[in-house]
Amino acid sequence: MPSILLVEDNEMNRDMLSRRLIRRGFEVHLAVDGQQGLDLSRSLRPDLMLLDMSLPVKDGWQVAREMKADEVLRSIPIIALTAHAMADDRQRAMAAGCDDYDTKPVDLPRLLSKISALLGEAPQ
Amino acid sequence: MLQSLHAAVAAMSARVNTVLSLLPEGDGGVGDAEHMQRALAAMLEALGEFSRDEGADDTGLSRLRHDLRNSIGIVEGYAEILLEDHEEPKLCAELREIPTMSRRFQASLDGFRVPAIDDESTDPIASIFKSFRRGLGGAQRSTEPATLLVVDDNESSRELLAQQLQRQDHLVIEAASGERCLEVMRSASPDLVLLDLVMPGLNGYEVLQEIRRDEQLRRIPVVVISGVQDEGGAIHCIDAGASDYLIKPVNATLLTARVSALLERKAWQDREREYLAELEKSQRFIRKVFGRYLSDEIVQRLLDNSDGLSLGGERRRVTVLMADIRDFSLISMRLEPERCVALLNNYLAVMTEVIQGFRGTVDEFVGDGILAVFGAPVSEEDDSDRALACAVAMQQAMAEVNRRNEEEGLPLIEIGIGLNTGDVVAGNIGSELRSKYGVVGHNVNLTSRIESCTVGGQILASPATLDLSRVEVLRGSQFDVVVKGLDEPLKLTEVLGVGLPYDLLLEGADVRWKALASSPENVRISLLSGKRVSSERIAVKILAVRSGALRLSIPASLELPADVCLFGVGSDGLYGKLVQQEGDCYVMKITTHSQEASRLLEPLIAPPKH
Repeated sequence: MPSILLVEDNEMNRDMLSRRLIRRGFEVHLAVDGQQGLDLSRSLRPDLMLLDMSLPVKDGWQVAREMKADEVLRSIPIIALTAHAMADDRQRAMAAGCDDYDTKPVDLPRLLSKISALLGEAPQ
Repeated sequence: MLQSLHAAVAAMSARVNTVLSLLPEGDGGVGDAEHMQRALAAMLEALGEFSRDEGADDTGLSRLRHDLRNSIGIVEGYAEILLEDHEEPKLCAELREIPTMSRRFQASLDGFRVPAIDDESTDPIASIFKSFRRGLGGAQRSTEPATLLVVDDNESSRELLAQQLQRQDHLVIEAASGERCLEVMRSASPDLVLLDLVMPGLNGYEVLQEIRRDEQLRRIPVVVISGVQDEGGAIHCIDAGASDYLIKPVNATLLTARVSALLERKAWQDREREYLAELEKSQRFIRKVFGRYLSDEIVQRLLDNSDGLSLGGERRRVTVLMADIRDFSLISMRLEPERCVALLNNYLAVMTEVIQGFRGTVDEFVGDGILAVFGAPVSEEDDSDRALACAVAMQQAMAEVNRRNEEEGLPLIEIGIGLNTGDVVAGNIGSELRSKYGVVGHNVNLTSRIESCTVGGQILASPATLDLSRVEVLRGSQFDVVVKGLDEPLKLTEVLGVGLPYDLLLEGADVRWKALASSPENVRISLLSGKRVSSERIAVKILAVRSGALRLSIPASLELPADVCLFGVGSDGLYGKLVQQEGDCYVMKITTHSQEASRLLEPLIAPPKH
């Protein structure tokens, strides 16, 4: 069962998205801010990280940069999630090291296809 | 525009309320639906805050969009979870509406986008360069002298900047820390702030966040100044609400260009705010003029949404209500024009209030006729219920209309009301010069036909309206009508009252037939074709009487409804409509004025037995 670390500060978003992912067969772990996201990805080594970009303590861009600068964590694929739909958001997320990008509101089938594309490529 | 977003959220909220009411108590989904409510409430709050914020700019808009996208995602997500967990058809039907409504909402939200960001652009600061180019263009003209605040903990950098700016005749104030910057902004309200990013105490980023939180300060443009090694941080500041950034050492030409551009933009925004205030004044006027005919919702839509003024329309299911004064042409012939208008105004004023009270839209006054719709521009699940209740309330309100008429010495009037539900095309219909929000289509015409089958004081509803209604309807007689364009006869039902929560009953909705004391001899009827009484008379027998109707025995097979004139009661004929048939027993609704009719019929009725 692939495991996903969902880093999201909004409680309702966290609850809603995690439940939908669990129903589709993922093991879901939760982090509520950027720092916790980094700590948990180190201890849990999830198969993939879903990363909200506007996070307290440490924002998503910072988390992505630190993940990709880390020898061990850089192999974990990251999908950035933002509620901004500006053209440069995607660019900025990719520049920070995210592997893919999706906008909120989340279109689950679209997100799932991105997840499986990344999991398929990720070194097991 | 903002209002249509607001309305869309409110509509979703109403759906979720229904969902909540349909969920069994203690169901696991209750919490999910409550989360949806919370997210929708947060959206309403964000919209409210944005509309109250006079100085809302692109940054505020971007924040709003961000918050709304987050929340609508929550609403959609929980709707899907609830759908997966439940099977009850009504509940699922409600939930399936949510994604559609959400998509519509998001489309409106996207329409909000102000700056046209080039999708091809891969440069994260492309928009900044646009303003830069504008600034260069504007540099040829000298910018009006402005008050600028320079914030830097380093005294020499501060002075260098100040000198460059003073050369353009700007008044420069200085602040040596982030804390001091906020104080000066509040007391001196400068036109522009140049803010160093790296400072001890509050740094530039933190100052920006403070500014964002302050209603007054967030209108003032801020240019962040950073060393080349902190350029990433400066870009980050754009997210936090900075208008622009510059890299140290600051190039004098760039500085002039950007300052001019931002000052120009600010002046433009100030002018825009004044213009909006003017606009609001004229909108108030429009509201006053149109408010008489249209519900607040449509007026708001016309005002807020540029789409609202375009011609064309959308197909939607509505309940159409048509009301007409009986024998109005006769009444108007006998009255002076001014008195006739007074009569109509009495009537239309009372009816408009009743209709708007049931959230109906008065679509049109056609002479003495009223066309109202329930379900456009905004559909609600109880459209047909409100229309039914409204029709009964309108008949009840006729007492008030007639009281006014009596006071002014005007004749008493009666109305008939037809109700029908179905798809219509709703939108702004007409030419560029003269257009109005309205509904058209077969179902509107059908309602008019139904209405023409009514007699004074009566309400007739089509099966579609009654099938969709959830409210209890007290039904009177039923009969089939052949309607042009329909293959099958239409079964119309007389509505005598509606149950809770409206609990309205037609006055004198006395459905009991009364026996006759003595049956009058030599009673005959003649069929009417148009306004002419046919010369053929058919002998009939009056079997029973109830308010506004007779039960007749007619030894002939007649097609219903049939306009007839009954002779043998009173000196003139009694006009009416045959509306129901069982064997040779027909029901005749009396169309002659009810007071006149009861004067003639009263003597026929047997005194109650003791």
